[in-house]
Amino acid sequence: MSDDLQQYQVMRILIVEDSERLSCLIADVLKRDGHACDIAATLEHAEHALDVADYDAVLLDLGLPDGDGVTWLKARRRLGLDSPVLMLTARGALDDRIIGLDAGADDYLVKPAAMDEISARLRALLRRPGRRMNPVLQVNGLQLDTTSRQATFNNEPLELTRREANFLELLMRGAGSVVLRQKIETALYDFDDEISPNAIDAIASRLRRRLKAHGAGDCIHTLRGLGYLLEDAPRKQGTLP
Amino acid sequence: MSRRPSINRRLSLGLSITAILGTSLLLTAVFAEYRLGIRDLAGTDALRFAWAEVADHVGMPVLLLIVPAILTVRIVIQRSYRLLENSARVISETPATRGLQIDDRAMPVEVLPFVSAINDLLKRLDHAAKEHESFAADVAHQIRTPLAIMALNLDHGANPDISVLRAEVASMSRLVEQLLLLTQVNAQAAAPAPLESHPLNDLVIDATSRFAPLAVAASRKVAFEECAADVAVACHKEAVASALRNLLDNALRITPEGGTVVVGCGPGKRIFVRDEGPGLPPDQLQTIITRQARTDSSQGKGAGLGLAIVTRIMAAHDGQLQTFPEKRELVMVFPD
Repeated sequence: MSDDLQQYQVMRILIVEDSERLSCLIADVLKRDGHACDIAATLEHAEHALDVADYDAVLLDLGLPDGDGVTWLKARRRLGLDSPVLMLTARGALDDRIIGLDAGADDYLVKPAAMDEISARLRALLRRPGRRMNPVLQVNGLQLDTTSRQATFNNEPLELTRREANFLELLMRGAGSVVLRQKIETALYDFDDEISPNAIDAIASRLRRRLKAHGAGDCIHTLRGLGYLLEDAPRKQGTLP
Repeated sequence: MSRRPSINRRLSLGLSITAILGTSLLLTAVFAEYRLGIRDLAGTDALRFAWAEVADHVGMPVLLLIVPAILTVRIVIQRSYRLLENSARVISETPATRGLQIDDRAMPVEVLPFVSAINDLLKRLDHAAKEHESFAADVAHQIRTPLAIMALNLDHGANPDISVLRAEVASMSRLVEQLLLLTQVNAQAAAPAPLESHPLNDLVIDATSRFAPLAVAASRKVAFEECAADVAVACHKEAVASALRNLLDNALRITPEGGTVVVGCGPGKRIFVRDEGPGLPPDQLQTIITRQARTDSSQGKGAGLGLAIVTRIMAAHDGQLQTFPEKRELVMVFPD
């Protein structure tokens, strides 16, 4: 995995977590991915960190010694914090996810979460359109320059039509998660007003063929009735937790 | 400060009031009978005579009736309550915390409803404690297995099989996650939040698409079948989503690699999950959810806990979890 990771843009991530063991572990993995990490063990430290630096993402634990992460995030969002926030928490009433998202978190994970999952979610957050968005999207050797609409796989150019490039951009921005059919329909309609629902399947299969021709394997999955999913990380064959 | 009500005190007070009222009535009757007026009591002799008459014919009879009445009632009450005091002592002196019942054979009829309510409560507590114990035993058993496998692997030599360790840690994480969810569901059931109406299709699409990456990573497919007419269900959205996630997780485990898990809504207020496993007979579902099944059940690790969680969530919605083995479906049925 580390080959592709070198191509990732360096991101600065703030980890707000009071368990030192956990925060160091997370920071190690993220550093290995080439990201720069700062650790804050309290909300007060986090405040200081946010005052002096700009972060591309914040990993926020909820139960901190000097206050509640949800309330803090709400206040911070009102003050103009616009970095994506991934909430990571050990506590959990059923509605915590909703409460967290309402407070302004972009994603929510319950501990114990696998390191793979944390970094996958972070990568997904960093790919979202945002203020310091990298114009070049990158997923597993697949690259798309969102301004020039040029796509490459392992640095070999891919010939894509405009629709295919638009479709690929949607999948790459949502890589690792399901991009719902409905969303694709609306988004492609915005790009191009003459698209029929069947056309999406046609675009998908053409794109899949092109990727296969370049040795990308079967990385675009059709989920019947739901939408499409572009694989984010290489699959471990048939593994089940 | 308000004083605690006492039956003895209230009885004495009641009987005293009765005595006073009775005396007044009797006096009125005597005055009426003898056509006496205030004027007739004017002289000292007349007053003394009248007092003597009243004491003989009114005071004495009232005293003779009321005083024994008070005494008798006190004794009866004390006797009856001694039985309760005795059983209270038996309860507090019994060392066992289990299987304790109050002996109601000697209890007066009047306290029977209370005594049997207490006995019923004791029975329920016993049942809950027993369930809790066997649950804890199950959980310990389920945690011990992956621990044992990991310990074996680590002892094995210089190169422990990382994939085995990882898989066992993952299975323990899953178990802990389910335990957490179970406590959340129980807390929810203890203090239920008002149900809100949610369109079933949206809820299922949301939960399924959050689950799908896991299935894809495990080389299984997920498909969604929309119900023709979208229905709304009064529910706790996150709870239903968790229930569905448990069913999906379960389905994923019994579907072979390359297979498809189909999830959908309808007909009516139902969510179904179809897998490619052998199908689950109703009696087996019953055994699994009553937590009799241990780790080595045919449904795979942790299925019991997962399905028990689903059943609880459905019960909190007045619905149920049904199985249709011939269709290989597990169905969450909501009330109409």
